[in-house]
Amino acid sequence: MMDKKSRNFFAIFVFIIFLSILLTYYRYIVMKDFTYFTDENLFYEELSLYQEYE
Amino acid sequence: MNSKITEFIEICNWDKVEYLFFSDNVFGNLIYYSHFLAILLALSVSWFVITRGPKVLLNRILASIMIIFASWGFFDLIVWSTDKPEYSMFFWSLTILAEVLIYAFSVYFIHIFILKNDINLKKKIMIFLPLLPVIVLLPTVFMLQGFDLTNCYRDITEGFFATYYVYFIEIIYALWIIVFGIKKYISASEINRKQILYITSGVVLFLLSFASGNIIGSVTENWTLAQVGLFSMPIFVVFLAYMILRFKILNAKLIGAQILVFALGILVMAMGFIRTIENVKIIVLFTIIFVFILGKWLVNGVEKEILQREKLQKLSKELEDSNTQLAKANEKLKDLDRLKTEFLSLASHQLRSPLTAMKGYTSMILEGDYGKITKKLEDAVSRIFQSTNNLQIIVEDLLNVSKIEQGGMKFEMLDFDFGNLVQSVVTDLSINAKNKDLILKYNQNIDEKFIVCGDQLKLRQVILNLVDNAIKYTKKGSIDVNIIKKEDKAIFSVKDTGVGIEKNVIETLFQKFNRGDGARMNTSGSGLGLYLAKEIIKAHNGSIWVESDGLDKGSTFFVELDLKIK
Repeated sequence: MMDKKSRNFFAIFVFIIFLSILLTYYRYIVMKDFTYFTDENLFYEELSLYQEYE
Repeated sequence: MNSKITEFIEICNWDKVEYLFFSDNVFGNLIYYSHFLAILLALSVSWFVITRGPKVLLNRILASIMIIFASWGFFDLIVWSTDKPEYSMFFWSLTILAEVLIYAFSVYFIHIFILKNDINLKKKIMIFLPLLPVIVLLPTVFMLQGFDLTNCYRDITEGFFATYYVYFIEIIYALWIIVFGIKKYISASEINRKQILYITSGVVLFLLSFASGNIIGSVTENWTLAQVGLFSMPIFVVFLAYMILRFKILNAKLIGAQILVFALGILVMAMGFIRTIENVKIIVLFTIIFVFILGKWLVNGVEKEILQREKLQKLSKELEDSNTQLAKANEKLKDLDRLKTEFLSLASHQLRSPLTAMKGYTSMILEGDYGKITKKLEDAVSRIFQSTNNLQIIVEDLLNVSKIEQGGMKFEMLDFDFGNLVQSVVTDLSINAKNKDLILKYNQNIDEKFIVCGDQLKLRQVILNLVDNAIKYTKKGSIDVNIIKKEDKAIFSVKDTGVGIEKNVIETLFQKFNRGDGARMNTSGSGLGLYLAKEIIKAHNGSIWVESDGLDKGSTFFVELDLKIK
């Protein structure tokens, strides 16, 4: 069994992970706050390949 | 979201996803469906280890690794199938987090497995602290820069941390495991070395195949190829299975059966989600193979079990019956033996008193205490005295036997010259030998001493018995008594030219109530003398034995005792 200090350490660690996931969720799912990389020419070039594959 | 982006997304025409991961957006359906196998395998292993020891730290760590790997698989499924860019972003970042956690926990797992003990807090902090930048920066552009809409492949552009830092710490973790494993391998014992080798190799292979897939994907941006990381789970399971079988940690047959059943279930379930007929055929083929293997294994196993059980039941019943009979017989024998010993003791004690009185009075009559007696009467009383004497010897023997059997015979161990004892016995019995016209010789070197530690009286009884037997069983010729020194032992021997002993009789000569040819020779005796001699010599850590070339070829009795070395 783990000692008390280690358990506290892991508890804090898990809490930080939880907070991080929550923030990530808020940013990407709720706020949809992220960049779209676009390039029209490249897009249409890739599109023909993509449609062939599909 | 601006109009251009919306336009591109509409052009891509991604299939709407149902229940998070069911859609036609996946590339390479079989690899996609293999996610389920890997997830279920990971969850099965975690369930298995945690149910077998929920409080064991090692089991908890291993279960955690399996659950995080299953989560990684689950997140990856969503990333593959989703039509929503925001879901791709979110779950892709979760896969990165899951990855680094698997590595850190693997390092922790290896330490506990090899050291068989938990590590201190400092080491734990050392292992998990490098993850802090990844966790803290997870929602930032340092992890994921953005959604790649230069194509319709739903790719994510990873940031500096995801591309370099994460892979850097993964390499460090892998090296840590290798170096730690090598160090412990060198200092471990033979059996532990093998365990260390297998578990370290298994974990490193698992992590490397996991990493290689992701590294390939990140570098080449070919995420179909990256799915090879999924197969790291079966690699680890194979090593775990080998460890279990090799070191017999758990019931291998049971695990094997469980794994096959799970695999079968997954395959059957997968058929409900496959869209193309070719893939259905492949799944059906695998299902048939698994059913065949599992079915054969189970049927054979059950058949074997039934036969073994029936055999065992039969043997068990027979054993039980034998045991009951033996126990009854044993109890009876014990009772009889106890009764016999008690009877012997009682009878001997009861006989002693009248015999002592008889011997006493006859002796007094012979000495003239009751006046002068005639020659005729003297002869008669002499015979009575002699017979009483003989009977007393027999009673004493019986008493000694009962004492030995009850564990009550005591020995007074003192140092004395064995040579002198033999001399006194020979002197006492010389008259008996002379009466039979036998030559009784004692070949003793007067200057040599044979100091032994023992009960002088009891040893005298033994020597007296042997020499007396030699005189009794010899009609004519001589009896040679001798003692020699051999290393740290004194070997006494009495060789006669008497009736000899047959080989089959020699084997039983030292048993109770065995008189060899005593009946044929018409000599008196209880058949206990040699048995008592054997027990007395045994109590002195010595040996007694006889050699004879057969009937009428004489015999030699030997006694070997430890010499007292000053």
